[in-house]
Amino acid sequence: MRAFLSDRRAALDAALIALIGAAGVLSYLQIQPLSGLVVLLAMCVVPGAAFLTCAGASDPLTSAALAVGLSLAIDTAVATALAWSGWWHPEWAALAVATVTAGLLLTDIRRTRTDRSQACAVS
Amino acid sequence: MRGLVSARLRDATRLLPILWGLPMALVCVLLIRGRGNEPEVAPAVGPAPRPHVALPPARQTRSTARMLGARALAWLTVVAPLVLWSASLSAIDLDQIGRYGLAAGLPATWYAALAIVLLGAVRTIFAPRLDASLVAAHIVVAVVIVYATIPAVADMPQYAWTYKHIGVTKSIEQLGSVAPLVDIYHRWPGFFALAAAFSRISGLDDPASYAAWAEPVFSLLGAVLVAAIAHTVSRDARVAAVAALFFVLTAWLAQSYFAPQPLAYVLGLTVMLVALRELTTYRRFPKWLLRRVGAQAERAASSWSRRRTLTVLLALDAVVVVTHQLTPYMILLSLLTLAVFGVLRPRWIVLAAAVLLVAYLVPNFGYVRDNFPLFASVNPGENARVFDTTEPWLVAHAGGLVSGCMWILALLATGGLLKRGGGVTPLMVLALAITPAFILFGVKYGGEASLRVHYFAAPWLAVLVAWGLAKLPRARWRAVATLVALAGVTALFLVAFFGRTALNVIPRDEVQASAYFYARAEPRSLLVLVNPGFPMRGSARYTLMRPAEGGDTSPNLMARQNAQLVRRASLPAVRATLRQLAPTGTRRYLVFSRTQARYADVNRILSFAETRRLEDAVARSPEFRLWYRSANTRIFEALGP
Repeated sequence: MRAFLSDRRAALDAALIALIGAAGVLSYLQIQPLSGLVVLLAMCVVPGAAFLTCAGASDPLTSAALAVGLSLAIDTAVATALAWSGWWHPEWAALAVATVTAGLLLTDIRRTRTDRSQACAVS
Repeated sequence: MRGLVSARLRDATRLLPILWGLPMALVCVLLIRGRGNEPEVAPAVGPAPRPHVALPPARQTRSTARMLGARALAWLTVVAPLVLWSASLSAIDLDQIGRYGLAAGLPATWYAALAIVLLGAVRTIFAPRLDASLVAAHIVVAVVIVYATIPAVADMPQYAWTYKHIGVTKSIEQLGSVAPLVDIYHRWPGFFALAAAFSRISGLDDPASYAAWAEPVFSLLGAVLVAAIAHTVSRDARVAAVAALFFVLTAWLAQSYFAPQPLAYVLGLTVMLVALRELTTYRRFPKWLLRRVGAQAERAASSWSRRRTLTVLLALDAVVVVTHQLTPYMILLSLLTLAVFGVLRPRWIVLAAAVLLVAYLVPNFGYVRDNFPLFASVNPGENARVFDTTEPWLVAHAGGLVSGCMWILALLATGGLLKRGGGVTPLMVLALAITPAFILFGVKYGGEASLRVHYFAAPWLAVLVAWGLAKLPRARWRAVATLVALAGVTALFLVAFFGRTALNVIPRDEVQASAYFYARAEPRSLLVLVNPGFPMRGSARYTLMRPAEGGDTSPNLMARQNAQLVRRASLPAVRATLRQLAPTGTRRYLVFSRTQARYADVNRILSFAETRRLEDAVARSPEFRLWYRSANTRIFEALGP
């Protein structure tokens, strides 16, 4: 059961990394409305979900809700900081956020794999 | 023959309140009845117990096939409504909208799609085994059917006031910074900066190309948050699903459009979710109350550290503070309510939220005080005043009826839950629903204060109603009562939500006229409306024009002191108002449009005939010249000083 949960969590992390990649590629290729949809989905879910990998998640529904709320908060905070500072480079800011979130998600994948191998060794 | 048919129709209309009221009354009776507790038919969530008896291979195959068939059938109530809805779109004609708005103009297939998805949702939610993905799919389809219909068929984003938000977004994207001297939106830039960043990253340069779709997106995000809050307080996935449905199907105020409010609303719900999950405790709750309403189980051990929780909560609140003017007050009041109840720890978090709010308000207070009558009255009766309209009675009052029904159901649900020893949480949720009413003491919010009270109470009412219905004593009544209550409020909601479509849908040529003005008019020119309802400031160049004094619909002729003279088509009064609005040397323009005329007629500001008389007088006057003309719009330039 534990192995199953670990796999599921790693799969979710991998899916989110794939979403970041897809958003990056599509925002470069500009295939509308697909680019808009994928970028929107990534902005609404990814930063918050990556934060929850550090903070600890609870049940799936609450995790999803917190991921949405935290993602929008992070996006808004970054965008507002850009507008206030006058350094208006949303692409670079998005790249920075994507790098940090992808790093957090990769770390979580490694952590879940380590947990799993330790659980196997114990059993 | 026609007379006979209309007489029959009149008779049938008289029966409607009875047909609607009887089932709703039955739901009310069920909510307060407390006898006959039955055991749960199955655990609220999680897999159903599996039989341990090994079946022969042939029977196993048949059983698997039957299970797959049942699953395919269950997904039919997701797919079929989507197909029906898509087919219904071609039959919707926004140019043929009657007095009941789009509610009377939607084809039967549209209503069939909504009915099927609601039936399927309730059936799935109350099935012995809860399939979370199937329930989620039903809720998503319900959101699509209700909130994506107008974006799918309209040329341009609906609601005239959307366009000024589009203009602010464009200006931030083009300037690369905020311009606090221009207007209040640049002083609370959170949403606009986010939208501008999205435009740049996604490549959708013009926010008008995606703004219409904000409504289904924000509705869906709100539903997720409401479901999570319902799950947190009730610990029942069925309550979460029913709450999401009620939330989506009672949001008659249509506040999920392209604006700072829905973003702040979603963030505010996140703040409350974090507070309810991580910062509530019932250990210090008065013992006498616990004895009366039943012992309250403590929440599960927190997964976050205290420091992390407080940091996240205050960071979320800070983002709300820079995004919207009113929502931080609602969050503060809600946290204060939890603290007064004694369930919020630490209590100083309320003070910290207040400090954040005041710290941001202080540098902006002078601007707000000088330009907006926000704190004009401390009389709640005056602040809650709603203006009379020429709409049919049902359209004008359907929204109020939706809220009224939800309040009655929520009160009955609270009573029923307390009677059955549901603990103090239902009382706490009820207190959170009542809390928004306190803004009526002191805040007018541009005449919208009473509407915002309904808006901020809606999530808590949805949670309570869902909780009461999903915990009805008799298991077999739960699905039926939920379906009846949903059908009842949805019928009223559709009238309220679609009843004003004629005012909300903006013709393309009015948007083009507005764009023409901002592209061609000289800097520091002033565009004056006759009434609210014109898509103003939809261009980044609005920041170069003369800033409007006053609220969102300013400047408009009928909001000025000599409106009674303007009503009688007095040209000297029109000239005087224009001179009052801008100093000598400013180019002044006056715009007449179809949507403004409709708005004025519905809200009893100017009848169609009075608008026509005024426009004729302006058109004949040598002091004005026609500057722009399209099918629905005329812009006149005032000549002379």
